[in-house]
Amino acid sequence: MKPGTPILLIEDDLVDVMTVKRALRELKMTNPLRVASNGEEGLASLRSENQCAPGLILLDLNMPRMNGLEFLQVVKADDQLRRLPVVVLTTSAQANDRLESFNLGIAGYIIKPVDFTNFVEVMRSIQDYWSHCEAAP
Amino acid sequence: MKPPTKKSMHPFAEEKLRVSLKELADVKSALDQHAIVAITDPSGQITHVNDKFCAISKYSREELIGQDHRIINSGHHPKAFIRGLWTTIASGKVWQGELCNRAKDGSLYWVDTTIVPFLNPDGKPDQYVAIRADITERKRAQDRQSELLKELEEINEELDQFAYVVSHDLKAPLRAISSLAGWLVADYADKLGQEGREQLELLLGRVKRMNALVEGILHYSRVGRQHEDQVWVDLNQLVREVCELIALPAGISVTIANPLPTLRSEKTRLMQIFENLVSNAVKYMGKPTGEITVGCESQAQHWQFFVRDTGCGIDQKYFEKIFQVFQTLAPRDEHESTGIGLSVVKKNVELFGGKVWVESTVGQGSIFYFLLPKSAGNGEGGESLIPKK
Repeated sequence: MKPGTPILLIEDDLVDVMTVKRALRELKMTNPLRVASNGEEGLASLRSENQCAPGLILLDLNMPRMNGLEFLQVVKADDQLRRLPVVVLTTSAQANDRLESFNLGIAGYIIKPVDFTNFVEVMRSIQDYWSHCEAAP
Repeated sequence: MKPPTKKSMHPFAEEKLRVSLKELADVKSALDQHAIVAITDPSGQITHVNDKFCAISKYSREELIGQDHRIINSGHHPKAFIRGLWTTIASGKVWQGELCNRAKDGSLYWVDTTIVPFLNPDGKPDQYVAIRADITERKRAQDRQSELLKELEEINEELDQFAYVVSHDLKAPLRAISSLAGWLVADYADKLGQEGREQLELLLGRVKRMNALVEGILHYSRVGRQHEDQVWVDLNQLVREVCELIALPAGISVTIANPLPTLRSEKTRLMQIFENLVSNAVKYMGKPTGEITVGCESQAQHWQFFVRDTGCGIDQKYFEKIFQVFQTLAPRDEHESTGIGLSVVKKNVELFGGKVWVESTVGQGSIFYFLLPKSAGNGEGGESLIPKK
């Protein structure tokens, strides 16, 4: 993922969106952040003609209208979208959610840390990993 | 049973016969007072019923004599069960069991039944005597009890589920409050002034505490909700793992007094018991050095474990209270504690069918004891805790 590749954040909680933005700023990450507030908006963003594909999708699970797991089902069944790496970023530690997410082929599952400093660390490791990671051709 | 004719009898024998007939009549009348009695021929046709039989079945004697027992069949019992009964008595053995019958008015009643076959000289039954006792009330009470028990289990499960959902949902706004307060401190430190910063720090501290409490509820509710597979757990190994997990301070030692058993059980539950007891012993040592001893005694029905410390001790009046959820003895500002630990220990020990208690002297230390049954496999839901041979 190059520094200019956008990241798509699918998250309905305003403060959580602020948290990600702040963490990116703190880490001086320059990747543009697109925000969708539920799965439907996320799909619309991915399917819109005039935008380049994101290098990474950060996905919340509990969301109104279309939740994270429903979003994953659609994305992983779509030939155009299924290779986009998705990292689940959620408060849910439930075994069911983790199992379903991995069954749907996610790239990672992270439980949102309560503490902002820890959150920054999480974002730092995401940056470290994905900046070295090659995208699918 | 006709007595022999008079003229052939010796007066002495006649007297003996009279006495034994009277005895027989006495016993029969006593039996009739107590029990529901019926006699049938080998084909199952009723030849005799007493008043109690008529009363409970609500049939008259005339309606019953000559009928077979199908007249009071309730249809409650499977065919194989009834067949088993007949096979038993036809082969000359006594049958005992509980039967559900239907009275003339359609109502059901339960009888504790003994059927005794009486055999002719060829060894074939020539009559069956059935003696019954009305146990309808007992059966009803039993049914009601198991209904209530089931309801209770459902309610408990619901409660655990509720605690889980509530605590999970409470965490999201808490996280937001924590983040926003943190950013206020970071972004506006110069504008807030000393007092403002202090207030925000206090706010953040309280948010952390609430988060710990919510985590505690989650943890407590998980004890009842989650079951895992039974594995062999070497408790010596488990105690060592616990010590690594809680990172013992340099001055505090944990000793295993005598070799602990290896049990077949749910590892996480055992882990939670020992982890909470040992970490409490560390937390309330009250001084930089101290000794914690873990040991076990094998009793007839139980393993009696103990975790002993040389810490500050607990006043006797709190011996019960400390096991309740959210109860702490030190003010939360001195000791950050949720008051969940010992209630988790208690819940786990009780799920195993054991019990937990404490003995302590203030200033000298405490000993927490708990019993785990050696095998609690009595019925469904009972966790077995079988010691390894």
